[in-house]
Amino acid sequence: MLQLLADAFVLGCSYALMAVGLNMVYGLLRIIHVAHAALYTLGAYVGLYCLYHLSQSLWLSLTLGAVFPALVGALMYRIIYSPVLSAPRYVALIAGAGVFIASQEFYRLIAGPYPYPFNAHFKFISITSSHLNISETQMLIITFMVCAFLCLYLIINNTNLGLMWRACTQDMELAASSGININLIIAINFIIGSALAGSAGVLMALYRNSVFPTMGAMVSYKAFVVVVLGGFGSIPGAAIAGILLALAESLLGMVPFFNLPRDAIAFLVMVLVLMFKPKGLFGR
Amino acid sequence: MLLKTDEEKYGNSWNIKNRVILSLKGVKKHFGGLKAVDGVDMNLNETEILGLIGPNGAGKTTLLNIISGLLAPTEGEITFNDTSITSLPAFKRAKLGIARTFQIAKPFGLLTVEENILVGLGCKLHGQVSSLFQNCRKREILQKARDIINMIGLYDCKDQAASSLPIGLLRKLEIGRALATNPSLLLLDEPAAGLNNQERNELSDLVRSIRDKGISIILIEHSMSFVMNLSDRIVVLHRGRKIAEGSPSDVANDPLVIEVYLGVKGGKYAS
Amino acid sequence: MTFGYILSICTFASIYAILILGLNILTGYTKQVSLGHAAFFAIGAYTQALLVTKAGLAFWSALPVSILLSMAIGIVMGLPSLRVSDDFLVLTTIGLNFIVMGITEYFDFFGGAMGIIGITVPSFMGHPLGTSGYFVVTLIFLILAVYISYFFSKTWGRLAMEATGEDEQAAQSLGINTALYKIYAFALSSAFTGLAGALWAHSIGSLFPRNFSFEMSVLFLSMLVFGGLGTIRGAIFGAFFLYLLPECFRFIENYRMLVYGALLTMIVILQPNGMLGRGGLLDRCFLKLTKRNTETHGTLKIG
Repeated sequence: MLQLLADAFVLGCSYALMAVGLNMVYGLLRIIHVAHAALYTLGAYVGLYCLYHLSQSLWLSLTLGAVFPALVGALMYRIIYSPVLSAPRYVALIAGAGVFIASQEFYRLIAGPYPYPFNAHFKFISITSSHLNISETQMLIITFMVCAFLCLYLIINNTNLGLMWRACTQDMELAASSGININLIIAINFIIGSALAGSAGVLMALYRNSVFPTMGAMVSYKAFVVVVLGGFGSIPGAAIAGILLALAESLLGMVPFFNLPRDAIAFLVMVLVLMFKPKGLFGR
Repeated sequence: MLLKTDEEKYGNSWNIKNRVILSLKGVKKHFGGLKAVDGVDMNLNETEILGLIGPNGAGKTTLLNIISGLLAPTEGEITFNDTSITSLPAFKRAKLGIARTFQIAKPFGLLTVEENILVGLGCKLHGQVSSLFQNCRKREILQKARDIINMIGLYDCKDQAASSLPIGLLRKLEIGRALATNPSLLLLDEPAAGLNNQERNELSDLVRSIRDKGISIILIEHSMSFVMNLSDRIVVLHRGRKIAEGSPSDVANDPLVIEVYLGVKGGKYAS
Repeated sequence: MTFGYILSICTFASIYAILILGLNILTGYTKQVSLGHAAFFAIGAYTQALLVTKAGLAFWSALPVSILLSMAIGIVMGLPSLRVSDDFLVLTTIGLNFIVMGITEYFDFFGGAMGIIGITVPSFMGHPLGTSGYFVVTLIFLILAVYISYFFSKTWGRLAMEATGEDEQAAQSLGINTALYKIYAFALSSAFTGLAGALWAHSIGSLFPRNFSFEMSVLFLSMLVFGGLGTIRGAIFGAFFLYLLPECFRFIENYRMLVYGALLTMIVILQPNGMLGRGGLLDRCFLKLTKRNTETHGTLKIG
């Protein structure tokens, strides 16, 4: 039982890492960043490339798997979203969807549709006991997620940068006229969010030992559910909701007559939240 | 243009009926710690033109949003035509006869001018399943639309997409569209902003003719000469509270109002 | 390229046109982006297939059921819009897509991953319809769909939906219950799509869950956006053009989704009104041409 919860916790970490990027973009630009999933898969493929061509070490894969998507994410903002910020909302939404689909096909055409294994070498702590086994990979994921969220929390609440970011999420125009370089803030926003998505991709590639073109679809959808559950615009909400969703998926799957496919649970959660508490648990 | 004397202006004051059409009691709107509206009591008489003024951030537009239903008050009661409308959503209030324009014009850009007016004309019909089957381009309806378009002077561009209109015409479209709903109360949010003198005079005449049709009006406006000359009565808001109320000349001479506006004296706004 | 093959692709193109006409009501008029319309397509297709193969119903008796079930689920999908006045609705459509795919794959009742095969060719008055007969049937339904769409475009409902899509607050201040119209839009849209699905089931003969994927939903959206949001001519043009494109240019078959995705992004950013939409690319060219004609006429008359 404890093992089940631990496994779910790890999965929840990946949901949370994806969700926080989405939340950050929504908080700032009020856009539902559908193309975010493309960066997750990109991170995994970049990490894979490192493994095969550069070094067997995980750390390099993880670093490049975060940096490269970070840059692509910022580029995505420049090319795709910034021209349409003043257009009706559905334009950004549709543009993001197009990018996501195109990117999946792009990965398929370059790397082929079949999954690649992800064998990276690394040393990390693990927990082994009679009741509970947490592997090195799982510990890594949990540690990474906790560190990432802590860093993010500290940056947002305790630094000047974070203050400027918070100002932008409240009122972009006012922030701009107060002298804040909003383009820089938006760029950093995308960089951080995309870096987290890319790292989540590498970590999950390691965890599942496979990289394939459509790996981003389901995770990204779950990430949206997490964002809705946690509340749009709330970063701690993303963390907590991510864990909660993963736990719900594991626990509800055990209930006898709840014979639904696992992924349906996420959908149910989202519909229920939208119907009864649309602002989510911690939403603004 | 000098401020008209009360006698010159109130020549037709006997036309203002004594019936209270709109009543606000203790209306408050708090956004977290921000008290946008902090306990406002206000009445509007039938066929009255009430000017709502106050410095920036006084809560005028918020109050208008509360009356029209786009915002729910944190506290307070709103009564319209002797029925409580506090919990009614905006579209139901529109059907009861409350219409409004917006500070930043909100036309239906992709629709033509005529179609924009048609949307207003359909006010009572909207929502019923039959609306999915009823043709809206019947002769009587199109005729009504044309009447309104003529009244606001937009006949030449009636088939143009609303997004192609300049701001002055957009404002007229806003008013025409609101009038199409056949309201008994019209809320105007800064209708004169960005208009030149001639356009303002036309707008003044338009507002008076709307009132003469029996419609009560609440008007938010920053241009002092415009609102003072047009309104029968003024309410002054400051930081979410009502600080003065009365005839334009009374309010203009109220020391508290003068202080709040810092330096606006007697005839100074006669510009 | 036999005659039968040409008929077959014309049948499919017509089916997609019916679908996109439906999508136009939801995403074109009411501007509620649906990234899961493949789900309604699947519901129509699977309902039809199950009724015909397992319950032994005839094509014509099963059809209304497929349409109505699709419509019912469409209404259910619209219900969250009563509480949420934003574009979070798109997330529920994505979810529905995944859920329908999941359910059809998971439960054996729907044939599981092996799908449903052997959907029989429908008959009319006791005579089984061949490819040409079925094409005629589909064409008739397309004409019917166009007529209904055209009729609807003249109603109050269409105005209210477009108002809702343009500016919800302004629409509400004019008496429009925007949430209700979103539900109406979902209902009409899914009815059209369910019909398309049912017709598709018979045309293709076998159904597999993997067919009705997120990618298919994006394809539908590209067809509408490319053709022109909010217009009947745009919907039909987009459906035919983008469906026939890989047929004419065989080499892009392998890059189909890449082309569709890239096209969707580019079109929505550069030409959000599509090709034939109001203010769209071809539309403006057409207007320029006709204006030039009237201008020359004018000067000729004066001169």
